[in-house]
Amino acid sequence: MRKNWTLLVGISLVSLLVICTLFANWISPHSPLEDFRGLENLSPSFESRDGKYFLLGTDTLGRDLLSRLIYGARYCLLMGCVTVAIAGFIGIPLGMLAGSHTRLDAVISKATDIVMSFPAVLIALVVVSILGPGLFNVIIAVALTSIPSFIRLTRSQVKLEFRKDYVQAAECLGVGRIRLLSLHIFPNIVPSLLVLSSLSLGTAILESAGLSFLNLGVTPPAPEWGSMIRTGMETFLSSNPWVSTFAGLCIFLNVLAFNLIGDALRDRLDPALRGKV
Amino acid sequence: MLRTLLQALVTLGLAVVAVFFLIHLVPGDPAQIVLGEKATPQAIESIRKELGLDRPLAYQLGSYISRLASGDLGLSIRTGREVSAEILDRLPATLELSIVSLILSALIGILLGAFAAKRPGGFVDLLLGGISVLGLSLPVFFLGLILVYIFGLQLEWFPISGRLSYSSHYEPMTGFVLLDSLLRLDFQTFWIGLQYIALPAIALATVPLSLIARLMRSSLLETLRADFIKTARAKGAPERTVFFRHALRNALLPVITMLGFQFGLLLGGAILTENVFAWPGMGRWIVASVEGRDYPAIQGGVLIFATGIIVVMAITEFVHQWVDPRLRLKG
Amino acid sequence: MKKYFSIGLGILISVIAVSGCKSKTTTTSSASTSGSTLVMARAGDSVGLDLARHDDGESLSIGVNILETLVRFKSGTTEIEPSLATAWKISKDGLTYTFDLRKDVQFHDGTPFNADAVVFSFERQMNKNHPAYASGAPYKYWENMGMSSIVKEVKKIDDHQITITLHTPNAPFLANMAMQFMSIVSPTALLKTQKAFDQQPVGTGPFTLKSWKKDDQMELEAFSAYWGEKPKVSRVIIRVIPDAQVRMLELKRGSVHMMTYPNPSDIAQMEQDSNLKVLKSEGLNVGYMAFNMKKPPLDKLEVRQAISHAIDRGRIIKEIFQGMGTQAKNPIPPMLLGYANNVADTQYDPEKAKALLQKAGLKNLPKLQLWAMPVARDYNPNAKKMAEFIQADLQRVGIPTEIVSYDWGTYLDKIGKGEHDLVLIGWTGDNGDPDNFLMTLWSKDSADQVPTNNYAYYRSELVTNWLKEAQRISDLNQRATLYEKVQVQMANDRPMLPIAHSLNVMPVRAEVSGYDIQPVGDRRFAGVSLK
Repeated sequence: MRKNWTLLVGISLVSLLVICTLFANWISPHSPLEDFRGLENLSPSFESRDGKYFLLGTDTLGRDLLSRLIYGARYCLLMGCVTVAIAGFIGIPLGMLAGSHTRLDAVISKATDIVMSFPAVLIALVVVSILGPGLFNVIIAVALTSIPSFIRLTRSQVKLEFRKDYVQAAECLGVGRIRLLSLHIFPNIVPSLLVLSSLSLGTAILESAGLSFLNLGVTPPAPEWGSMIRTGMETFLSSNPWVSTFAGLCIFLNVLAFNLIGDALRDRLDPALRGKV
Repeated sequence: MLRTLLQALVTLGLAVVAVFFLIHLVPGDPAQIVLGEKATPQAIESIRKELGLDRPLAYQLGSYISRLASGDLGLSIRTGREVSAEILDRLPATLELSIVSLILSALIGILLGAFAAKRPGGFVDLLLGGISVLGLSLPVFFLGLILVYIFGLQLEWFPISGRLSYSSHYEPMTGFVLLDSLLRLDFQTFWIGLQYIALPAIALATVPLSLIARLMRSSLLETLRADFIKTARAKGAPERTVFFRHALRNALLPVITMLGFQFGLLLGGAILTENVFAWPGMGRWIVASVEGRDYPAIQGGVLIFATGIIVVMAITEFVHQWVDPRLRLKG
Repeated sequence: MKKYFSIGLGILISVIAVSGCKSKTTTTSSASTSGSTLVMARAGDSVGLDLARHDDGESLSIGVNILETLVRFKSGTTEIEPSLATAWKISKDGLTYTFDLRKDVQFHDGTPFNADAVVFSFERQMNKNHPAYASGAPYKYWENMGMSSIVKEVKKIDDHQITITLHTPNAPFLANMAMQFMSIVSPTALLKTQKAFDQQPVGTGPFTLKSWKKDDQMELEAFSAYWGEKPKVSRVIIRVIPDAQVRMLELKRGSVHMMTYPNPSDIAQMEQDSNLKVLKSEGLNVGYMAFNMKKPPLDKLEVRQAISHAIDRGRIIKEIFQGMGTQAKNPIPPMLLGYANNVADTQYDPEKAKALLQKAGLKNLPKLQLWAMPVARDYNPNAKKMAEFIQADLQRVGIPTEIVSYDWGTYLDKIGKGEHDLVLIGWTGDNGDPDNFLMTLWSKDSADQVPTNNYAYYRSELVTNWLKEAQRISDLNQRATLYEKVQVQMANDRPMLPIAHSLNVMPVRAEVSGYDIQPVGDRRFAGVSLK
C-alpha cells in the first residue's frame, strides 16, 4: 500500500512539472522577465497590487515569483532529461561492452573508477571552468558526471544476464555479439536502467542547482531555480526569505518526485537492485 | 593487501595523467590562458618556453610527474604563491569538516538503520524514511541555509560562520582544531570548535547519513533472514546476542565498504557547504580558483581531492578485508 | 565488547554535541567582554600585504596598519600630514623634494628606520637590477601611475634626510607619497624573505601581523615600540565572512565589532538597533559603466548616448544604494577640486535612446557583454544586481546583453585587457587629487598600458593634454579650470556613464569609539577603543 502511495505522489509531482513546462505561457500570470517598477520585494499575498496579482510575491527586480517558478520548470526538466539522455546514450553501450568483453572491461572499469574517484561537483566545476558557464555547458558537465553510474550498472546487469540460460542458448545458436546484446539482453536490463534514470534525474537537478549556487550555472536573467536560490540568498536571512524558499521548495519537490518514482520502480521491478543503484 | 595498495597507486597514477590531459588538451593554449586573449605573440612564445609547452607532450607529462614527485604543484596565477602552500593552508579545515561529518553520518546512520530494521514499519523506520527522503532531495547548500536560519538566527544555538572563535587562543599544530585542542587537553577550545563545526557538519552529513541508514536497514533485514541467524535462534541464543553479535556485525560489512565511497561524496558536498558557512577550506578556494581560471591551482586542488578519495578507498578496502576473514585469503 | 563501547561513546558524543546547543552564551558574549580585542568582519581576504605589489582594497586598507609612508592623510581628510618624514621642502622649480626623516623609529624586526630603508623602498620598484626587484614585480601602482617617468632619482643625504628629484614638476607628487604603494619596508626582512614578504610584512606601523589564516582570519598585534601614539587595543582580528547578511548577524550578536559593506537594504534595520551605530561619511568615489570604444558598435557616439539614455539610474540609486548614494554626472566626486557643476546630467529617456539607435542606423545589435563585478565595493554595493537592472533597461530599447562575471582578480585582469563590451567598475580616490581620478582612468597614456585602467580605451588628445598641463602647474584655480574642461569634454564624448557616488558606511557596535572612515578607504585601527 505504502509503495503505491509514494509512486502516486511521485507521478503527480512529475505531471505537474510537465504541465508547467508545456503550458508555461498559458499558466503563468506574468512574463518571467517583466520587471514591475515600484513593486519590488513583495511578500506572498492574495491582494492585488495595481490591479495585478502576485501570489508568491516578487523578487528584488520586481519580477513575479510565481511566473518565474513556472518557467523554471522548463529548465529543470530540460536539464534533467537531456543530461540523463546523454549519460545513457554514452554510458549504456560502454557498459555493455565492458560487461561482455573481458579485455575492454579492464580498461572501461578502470576509467570509470578514476572518474568516480573525483567528487561529481568537482568534475562539473572543472568542466564548466573550461567551457564557461551557460545552460548548454552545464548540461554537458552534469551529464559527464552521470555517465559512470550508467556504465557500472549496465556492466553488472549484463554480466548477470550472461550467466542465464537464454543467453547461453542464443550463443550456442550462433547469435552474434551485437545482436545478442541489443536484441536479447538489452530488453531484459531496461527495468533496472529505468530505475537508474529516474534516480539520476534527481541527482542531475541537484547538481545543476549546485553549480548555479556557485555562480557557474545558467546565466541571469533565466528563471532557473538554482540561480533563483542564489539571488534570493542576498535577502534570505534579513528581509525577504521567499525567493530562496520557494525556489528551494521547487527543487526539493521535483528531486523528491524522481527519487520516489525511482524507489518505487525499483521495489516493483527488481528488488535485487537495492544497494546497487 | 599488497594488491589493494598497488591498485590504489595505479588508479592514482592514472588520475594524475587524467588531470594533466584535462588541463593540457582543453581547447586553447595554456600560455594564452595565462596571458589572456590580448597577449602579444612574443609573450605567448616566451611563456610557452617557460612552461615547457614547446616540448613534446610526452616530455611535458614526464616533467610534470617528476615535479609532482618532489611535491611541486607550480605557482598560483592569482596570488603568485606556491599552490602547495595555498593548499596546506586550507586542507586541514576541509578534512576536519569531512571527517566529522563522516563520523556523524556513520554513527547516526548505522543506529537509525539498525533500529529501523529491528522493527520495520515502526517509528524509527518512518523517521528513517523521512530523513532519507529529505536528505536525498534537498540541495545541500539550501539545507545549510535553512540550518543557519533556524539554529543560528532564530534559536541562536550555534555560531553561524567561521571555524573557531577568535577569543580561543589557538595556535595551529596539525591544523585540525579539534585534534589539536584534544592533544593539548584544551577542552574549552575543543568545545567551542565543536559548536562551530556543528551546523556545517550536520548539513554535510545528511546525504551520506541517508544512504548509510538505508543500506544498514536493508542489509540488516537481509542478514536477519539468513540461515545462520535461524540457527543461532534455534540454538536458543538470547535475542540480544543474536541481534548484536551475529546480525549487526555481519550487516555492517557492506556499510563499511560504502563509507569509503561516501568520502568522495562528502568532499563534493564540502565544496558547496563551505561556501554557505564561510568555512575556510579547500572548497571555497577551489571555487575561487575555477572562477579565476587559475589552472595550476585547479590542477593541484583536483589532484589533492582525488588522492584523498583514493587513499580513503584503499583504507576502506583494508578495513573490509580485516573485518571479513573470507576476503583476507583472496588478497 | 569493544564495539559496544565505541557505539556507546558515539552516542555520548552526539548527546554532548546536541546538548551543547543550549550554551549559546559561551561564544557570543566574548567579543564584548575582552576589551582589548577589536574584531572586524570583511567580505574578502587580502591578496597580500607587500603593498607595493597589490592594488586591491582589501590588501591596502589593512596593510596601512602595518606599513607606513613618509607622509600621510590627516585622519578623515585628504590633507597631508607628517608621518615617517617630519618635514619636507620643495625646491622653487618644483623638481626637488627634501624629506627630514623621523628619528628613533624601529621596524617590527628591531632594525632601525633610516634613509637607507627609504631609498631601498623606492629603488626596489624603479630599478629593474635592484636585488629586491624580483620580490614584488610587477609593481602595479608604480607602473600605472607612471612613477618611473616622474621620479628621476632618490638620494640619501645623511641617515635622516633624503632628496627626491623629479623629471618634471608634478603637482600631485606629495599626495602620491601618502599612498600605500610608497610604504617603507624593512630592507633586512625583505631581502631575507623575498617573495614571502607578501605573507609576513615588516614595517614601522602601529600593528604587527601576528598570524594569517587564509580566507579565515588575520590577527594584528599592537607594536610595543611604535613611535607614535600607542594603539588603544592590543589585538585586532580581521575575519573573512563572504555573506553580508552573516556579517550583519555576527555584528548584532556582538561576535564582531565592525563590519564592511553591509547590504544597503539592511542599513535601516541596523540604525534602529541601539547596540549598533552606523558610521557614514561622504565617499571619495565614483561608480560608473565604461563603454569599450575599441569594440563596435560602441565606437559610435550615438550608441553610447543611446545606452546612457536607456538606463534608469534613479531607480538603481533607489533600489541598490537604498539612499546610501547619490546619482553621479561626472567622473569625479563633488568634493574634489574643479568638479564641473555646469555639466548637464543625462536624462533617463528610452524613446530618445531608440531614436538615437535608429539615427545610428543600427537595427539588429549584437549581444553585448555586460561585465559585472563579483564583489561589493564602496562605489557599487551589488554590481550583479545592478547589471540585471541595466540588462532589463537595455532590453527595453532593443539592446540585448549578456552578464559576465569572474572572481575579482581575474575580472580586473581581463577588463584590463579589454575583453568586455560594457563594464561596471569604479574608483575610490587614493590621494584626494582629481589627477588621481582623471589621469589614471581617462588619459591616452593609460589606454596604452596593458593592463589598462582606461576601460573605455578613451583616447582624446584634448583631454590628455589638459590633464598633463594640470599636472605641471601648481596654481589651484588654473588647475580647477582645466579639470572642468576635461569633464565637459568627457560628457560630450561619453566614454563612460557615471552612475553613483556612495556614502562610505561602516556599521559598528555601540562600544566602538575613535574610528574614522577615511576618504581614501584606509581602515586605521590605532585610534579605536572599546568602552
